[in-house]
Amino acid sequence: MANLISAELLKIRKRRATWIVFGVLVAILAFFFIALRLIIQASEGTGPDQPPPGRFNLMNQSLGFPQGFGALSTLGTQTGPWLLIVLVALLVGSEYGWGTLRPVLARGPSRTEFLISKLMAITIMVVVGTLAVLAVGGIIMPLGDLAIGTFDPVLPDDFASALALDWLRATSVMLIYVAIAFAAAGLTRSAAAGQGIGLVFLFLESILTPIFSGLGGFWGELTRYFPVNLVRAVQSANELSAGAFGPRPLVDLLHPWVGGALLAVYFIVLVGGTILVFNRRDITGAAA
Amino acid sequence: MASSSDGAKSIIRVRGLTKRFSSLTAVDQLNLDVMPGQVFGFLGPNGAGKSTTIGMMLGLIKPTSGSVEMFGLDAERHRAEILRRLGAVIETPAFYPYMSARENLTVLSKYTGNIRQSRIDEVLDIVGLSNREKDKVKTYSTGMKQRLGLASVLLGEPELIMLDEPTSGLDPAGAREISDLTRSLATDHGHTVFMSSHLLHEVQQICDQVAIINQGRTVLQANVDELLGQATGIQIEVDQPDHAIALLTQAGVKANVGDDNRSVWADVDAGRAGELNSLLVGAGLVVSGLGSRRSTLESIFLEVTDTATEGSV
Repeated sequence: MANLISAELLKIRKRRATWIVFGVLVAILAFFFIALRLIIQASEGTGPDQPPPGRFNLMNQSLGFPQGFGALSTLGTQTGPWLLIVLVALLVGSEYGWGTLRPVLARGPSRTEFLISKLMAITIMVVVGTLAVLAVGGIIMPLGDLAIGTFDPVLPDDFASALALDWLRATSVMLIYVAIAFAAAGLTRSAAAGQGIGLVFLFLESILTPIFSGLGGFWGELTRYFPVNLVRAVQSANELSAGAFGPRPLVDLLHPWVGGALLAVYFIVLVGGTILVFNRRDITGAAA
Repeated sequence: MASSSDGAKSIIRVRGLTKRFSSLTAVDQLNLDVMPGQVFGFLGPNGAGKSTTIGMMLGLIKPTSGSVEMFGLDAERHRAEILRRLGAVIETPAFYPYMSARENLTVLSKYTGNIRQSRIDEVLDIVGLSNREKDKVKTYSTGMKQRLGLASVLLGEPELIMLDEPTSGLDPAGAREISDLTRSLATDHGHTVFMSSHLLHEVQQICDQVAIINQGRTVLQANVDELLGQATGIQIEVDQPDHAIALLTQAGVKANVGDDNRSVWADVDAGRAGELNSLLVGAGLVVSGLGSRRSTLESIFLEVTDTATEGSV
């Protein structure tokens, strides 16, 4: 299995799309933690309909070092799924498009081993990616502080343990989006279809949450079980505050542990179902 | 290993292999025996079921019924062990286009397991890709991809090599190059080669034994030398072919004009050549040549596939 994971990691590492997606994520974070702060500062006190001065301060503090790590976790789990779905569907679906499944499976690994090794390699990629985002955040937050002249390097007590736990929550909840893209691309046997289904799912989740919660009753209750709200439920246990960028859930969130357990169930059903179908299929020509 | 009727051990033994896709029967009660050390040609028209059969042998396609034994092991129960002992390229070799040849072979070696890094150098050298090993595969021609496909099957030093249409999409020079390489895998490197093809000239040149399938069934399995050694009639070079055909038909001999439109093919035993010569010369025709006509794989292929098709109508 270690050999198979190593092969999958090599494929991920050599793929340009991996680095493009990571670059886009870093660019988004750079925008929030540097450019947005400069914009906020420049616009403070100018123009009509200004928020109260305290609001500017809160926004700036929320993006500064070290408080910004709370916002980083929230922003990462809001933007990450869109990028992750694009990348994971590409990594899974391309095997069908290029016809590389047959030469790989004709070398001995079972289909289950192949899919599990791919999933584990993607999980390692997510772990490394989120750690890299933390590292990038640790660089760009002070840069933003320096740009507006508010850098204060003092860390609060228990900051490291709180950051580690928040990172663990953020990383683990991202895996539900890995599973969605994995299943969508695997079941449709297409990278494009996998990306399309995954992105439409994210879009529907974001627009149905306010609509259903507005309807209340059964629909409002149903909304609590959407992955996006289960992710928020898990993150409601975060110790580092996201400040002005904290989520304002429209639904009554489940307990963090219940949210985490349900996400795990969704993950197992999606991945298990994909493996089950994959094992029963005939592997024929490219894009078959 | 399974034993054939003459006591030799089959490296591949297929019995009653059947695959149905909904209402279509792609492979129908197929039987095959491949002996070690051979280059075995697996022939059939397009859609005859060749790739489906290979897919079933490799465990990529699940048979509806029947059995496949390789190295004496049941292919379904001992899939991983069997696949460790063979290398296969199915149709056009597929690679990760964004990686180089070396990187692709590195990935594949991890799936095979226990491959020395120096083995990658060796196989790149065998197929003549050492000078392009760092180029991305997306820049490769079809011929180079086929050669890389051969390199990939050689990685694990397999006992058995399975090639599905190895010269598909190649120009004549490229096809010749791959054919020579395929033959050398058996003669110089000691591999058993099982290759499917519909290029009969290529198969005739490099294979020891062939099986011809049509509509999913084996219609012929035989040694190539024996097949081609069979005399199937007499070829007569004569100045008036139409007149000669009329005379021979009157004498009760089945005769046709040859492919070159100048000679006559008489469907009789070669021992009657003198008798036919006397008949034609006696009628005032000028006979400039006369000899036994040998089968070609093409004529045999067309004969057995036509017969099988007619028989099924």
